[in-house]
Amino acid sequence: MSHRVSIIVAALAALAALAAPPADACGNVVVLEQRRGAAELAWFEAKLERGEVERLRGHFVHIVFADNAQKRRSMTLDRAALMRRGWRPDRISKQLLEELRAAPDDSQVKAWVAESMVRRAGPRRRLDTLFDAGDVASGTLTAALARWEAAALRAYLLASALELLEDLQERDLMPDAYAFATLATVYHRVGNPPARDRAFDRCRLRTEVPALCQLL
Amino acid sequence: MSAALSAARCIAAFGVLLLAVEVSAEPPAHPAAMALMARFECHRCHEGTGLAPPPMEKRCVGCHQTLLAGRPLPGGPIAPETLARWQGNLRSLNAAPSLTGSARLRRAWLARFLHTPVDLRPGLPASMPRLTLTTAEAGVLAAHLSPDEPAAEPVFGPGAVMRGRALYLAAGCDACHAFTGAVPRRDGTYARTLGQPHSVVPMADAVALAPDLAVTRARFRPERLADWLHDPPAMKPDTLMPRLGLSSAQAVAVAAFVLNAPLASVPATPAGDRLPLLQRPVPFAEVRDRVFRAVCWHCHSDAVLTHGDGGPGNTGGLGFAGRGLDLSTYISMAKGSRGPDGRRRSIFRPAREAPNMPRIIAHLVARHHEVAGRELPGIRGMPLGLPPVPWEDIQRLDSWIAQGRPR
Repeated sequence: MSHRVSIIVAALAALAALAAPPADACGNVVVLEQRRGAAELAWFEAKLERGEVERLRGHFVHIVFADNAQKRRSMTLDRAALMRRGWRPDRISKQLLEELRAAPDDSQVKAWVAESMVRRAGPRRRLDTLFDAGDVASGTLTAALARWEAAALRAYLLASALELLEDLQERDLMPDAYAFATLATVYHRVGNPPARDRAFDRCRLRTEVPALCQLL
Repeated sequence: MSAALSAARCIAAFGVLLLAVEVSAEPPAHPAAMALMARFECHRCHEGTGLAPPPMEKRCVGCHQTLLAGRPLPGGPIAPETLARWQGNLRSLNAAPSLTGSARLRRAWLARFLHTPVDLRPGLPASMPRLTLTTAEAGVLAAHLSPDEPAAEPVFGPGAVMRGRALYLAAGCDACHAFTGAVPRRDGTYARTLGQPHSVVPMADAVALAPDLAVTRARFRPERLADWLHDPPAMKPDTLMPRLGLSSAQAVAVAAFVLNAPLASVPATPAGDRLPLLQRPVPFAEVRDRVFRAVCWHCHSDAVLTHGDGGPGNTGGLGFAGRGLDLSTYISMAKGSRGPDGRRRSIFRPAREAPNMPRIIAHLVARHHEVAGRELPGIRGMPLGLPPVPWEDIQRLDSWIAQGRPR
């Protein structure tokens, strides 16, 4: 335990020592073409959206983190990719650690990242908190989180996922096809086939890869 | 530890903010006005604010000018083909007037303009954006920019207007200026001078920044117009308005013409209307390329990729608190914007103020109304201070939304 704490402290100290780069007001236009880290994040997210998770095997967005927000987002993406590759949420920490250890440039910081990633993704955080945390500025995490909950196969988490996703749908804030696939799965499990089919229809509309729209 | 880090980041950010608003060597004449200048980030577009220049990443016009000149940005060298592509895309915010010499303008007009801007410069694609200035704040800024009290208006002798018109044309004022209702701007080469060659000025920028002179009688302090026409750089050293070689008497005559020429009524520009929904499928790539990435994502960008600055429409800026709206990707725009209550809301659902159209369409429509001199109450026109998105592209977006926003 004390070893883990020392890793976390060392990692935080290292991150705190990094000078934050200046903001890039011209946003995506300049940054995506000029900053390798940003381009890598965008590439990873595009692959994730298209369900090309196998292409992401062993490809962690641990990059040279430009700042904490990018680091946190990369952790989120890593976690979402792992879940979509079928990893069980309750084992994701251990599995991730094993995969990270096998990566060619393994390090203690990466191990800490993996731990933090799992710890941060608890299912009880409020939706708007997740949205507005800055580090998860896309709805991807929400979908991933709901999928995690749905996949947990526990009654109280299933109800929580249904509540979260129906709220998103009611407010027209469903982030992506995965969210609709998750909602369809939840409806399926609670015995509502018409609602499931409607969710799948929406899922197919929201993706270039209709094959993603299946029960989890 | 996390809290400590957050605190450290806040302190660092505050430090950066202090640096950003640090004023130049001369003490500000009007601290309240300088604070407003800093809050509304006037220096992102304008020179001559009295504020220290912001970093290049925040300088809209400065960054565009740097790219157009082929100079490197702070982030490092740019591949020639990338630079050429960017240069081809730069249509707006390539020039902006400096705020020096603003004392030649009427204070009351400035206050109105700052609060409710109008398109003053026909050659400039962008115009002063509608900010969140109150009328009181606009008054403070106007008093700072034009501190002198009004003076008696000049009286011109008989025939001055006619003589002024001839001089106006002879001096080639119409090479740069429109004078709506009196003399149209003519295309062609730079005008000849009356007495000496014009100083060498960048013609394109001069034309872009030249105001429509129909506004001058409301905008300019009339007692200073003749002096301005006689020697513009004496009143505003960085002006692109050249010395025309007018004598003092000739300058008075041109001033008489500009201030008193009869103006024919010009029909108001119609705002236009939404076009009917398209029947053909509209893919996301089409609206992304025609609308979102053509315009929107410059101010509504991804705050994480951009190291915390997602632009005025996301993380805030130009006096806006920021709505958390990221229009850079299909997924990011689905998360909507942050409403006044702090909750997320869809940009594709109708707004209360415009219940017959999606919120994002209402903002685009409102910009057309603003340019036509009207308002869509409660809805700020977008893109902010830029030419309206063409109706045909709004139609594309409208149709895509109606079709369920297919990916």
